[in-house]
This record gives sequence, structure tokens and C-alpha cells, in this order.
Amino acid sequence: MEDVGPSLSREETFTSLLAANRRRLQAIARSYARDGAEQDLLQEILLQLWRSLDGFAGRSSLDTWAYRVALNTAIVWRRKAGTEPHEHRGADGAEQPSATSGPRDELAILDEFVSGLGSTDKALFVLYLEDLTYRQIAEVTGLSESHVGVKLHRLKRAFIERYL
Amino acid sequence: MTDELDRFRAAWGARQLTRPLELGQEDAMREIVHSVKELDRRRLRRDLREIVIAAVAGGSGVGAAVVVWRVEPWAGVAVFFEGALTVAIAVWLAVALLRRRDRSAGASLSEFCRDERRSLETQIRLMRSLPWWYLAPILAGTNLLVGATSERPASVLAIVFPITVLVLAWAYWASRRSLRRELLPLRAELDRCLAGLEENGGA
Repeated sequence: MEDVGPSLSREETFTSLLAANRRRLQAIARSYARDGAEQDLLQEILLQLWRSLDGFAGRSSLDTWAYRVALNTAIVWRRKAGTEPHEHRGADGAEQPSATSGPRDELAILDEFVSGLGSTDKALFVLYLEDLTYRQIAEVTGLSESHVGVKLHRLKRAFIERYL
Repeated sequence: MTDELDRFRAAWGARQLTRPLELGQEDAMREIVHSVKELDRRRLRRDLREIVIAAVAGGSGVGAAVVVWRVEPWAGVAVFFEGALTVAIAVWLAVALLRRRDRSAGASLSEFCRDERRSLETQIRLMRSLPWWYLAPILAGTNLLVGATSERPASVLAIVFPITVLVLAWAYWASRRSLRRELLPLRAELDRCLAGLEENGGA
């Protein structure tokens, strides 16, 4: 979903935006919310998208704009709700794996890794997992494409060193 | 390196959606839109209610000033300024609130964090100086009003003054609590976010 024609109403635009991006919006909500607060954050993201839709200037694609709104909402919302997880961070800010953990599935491992990341790294890694290109991630975060590459390389290496 | 991560990305991509997003039908979408619109209306009503309360409090101050003016002109001026200040703050809050709704919501992460950090710094400064621009005028205005309109000001103020001090002390405590629990942690979070972005040369 790229550009929305001028004939679409706000409600139609919102609906098509949601239909095209619901997976990614939910992934962002899940990554930033904890302890069952995912739906609350998702609702907040949807509300912010709805409220801001009229302000979409078309300087980026609507999808990119939606990820920006979602991430910005998630970063501020997390602290407001006081749901900051208790973190065990390593030197690079990544969470240390639990010593008592046994074999786990991929999702549990990813959730553990993502939950231990800081806001910026979390945004980068989640967007990477959601198959956005480096260019798209750069547009969402405001970083240069090469810096997105460098940072993601470090994150991937940290992940592999810990879990693989 | 990417190959090693592929199975994790595949698992991430195959994850099931939870309600209500799992419902892709038109009716379900309509339901989501309806609930978002309803939430938007509720938030707007709440925001307006708070603005009206602040404006009424200030408007009452202006009204009280007229009453006091007849008895003690200098006290009337003080109460008038208190009321006018509250009205000004209410209007400023209303404008800031409405502008904030769309401002920077769709900005890139780095722009958003910088904007939000600036806005937060202003809020923190306002909150820290609350006793001077909000609580002190209310304390002075209330006691001037009571003192100027009472037949036995000394005995009435002996009761009213400690009560207003206690109420305003509670308001001050609540503002400090809000500062400590919400604004300062949020500022720390935004600082971390900006540090993470600067580390990459993007902010």
C-alpha cells in the first residue's frame, strides 16, 4: 500500500491502512508492551493513527508514516503506563539469557531478546524482523541507511552469539 | 549471518494475530473503526472537561474580583489577576493540546524524540514552578476574597488560611508525584532513545 487516492475518505484510508499493516502494528505493540498491555497499546496506536491521519503530508509512503506513528506512540506510552520491564542488560544493552532456561521455541527467544533492547534498538530489530528494507527502516527512524545497516549488523551478531 | 536468522524471522512472520486484528472481514474492520472513533470522542470529552474546569476556576476568580472590588479595590485587583491568570493558562493549555494532537505524530523517530524532549522540558519547568504561577495566586486570591468580604476577617481567615494551605500543599505534593513518576522517567527514556540514535549518527 503506497499512496492513497484523494477520493478516499478518512475512514476508508484508515481501514485500508489497518488492513495492510495490522501485522506490523501488532508486532510493534507486542514488542513495547508487557504483561497483557499489548491490546491497550495497540488501541492507543490506532487512536493516534486515526487522529493524525489528516496531518499526513504525503512526504513518505502511508505505510512508513504509520510505522512512525506506531513507534512514536509506543515509545512514549511505555513509560507513561509504567510498564518498563526489569531488564538484565549486557554491555551492548541486550538482555542476558536466563541460565535456567531450557529448549525454547524461536518466538520465545525473540521475545526475550527484543524485550531486553532499548527503544531505538528495539525499533530497528522489530522492523528488521517485519521484513522492512534498510531504506524503509532509515525512513522510519531518521537514521541514514548505512547506519541502520551497521546497527542491525551489531544486533544480529549479539543475537547469534547469545542464542545460536 | 542472515541465513542463521531466517528461521527466527519466519517464526516471527508466522505468528498469529490476536483479536481484534485477526478478524479481517469488513464487519470486523468497521467494528475497529467504530471503537477507535468512540475512544477519540471520549478522549476529546475528557480533554474539554479539564479545560472547562480550569476556565471555570479562573472565571470564578474574575467574578469574585468584581465582588471584592466594591469592598477593597486593591484586593479586587489581586483576585482579578489570579482569575485572569487561570483563564490564560486554560486557553494556553487548550491551544497547546489541540496543536499537539497532530504535531510530530508522523515524524521520524529521531525528530519525534527531539520534539518530545523539548516539549517535556517545558512541562517539567512548568511543573517545578507550579507554586509560583498557580498555587500562590490561588492562596492569595482565596484569602483576599474571604478577608475582604467577611465582617470578621481575622477569625474567618484563621480557619480559611490553614485549610487553603493544606489543600494547596496536597496539590503541590500531587504535582511532584506526577513529575517524579511520569515526566522524569519519560525524559530519561527519551534521552536513552536520543543517545541510541546519536550512537548511530542519525540524530
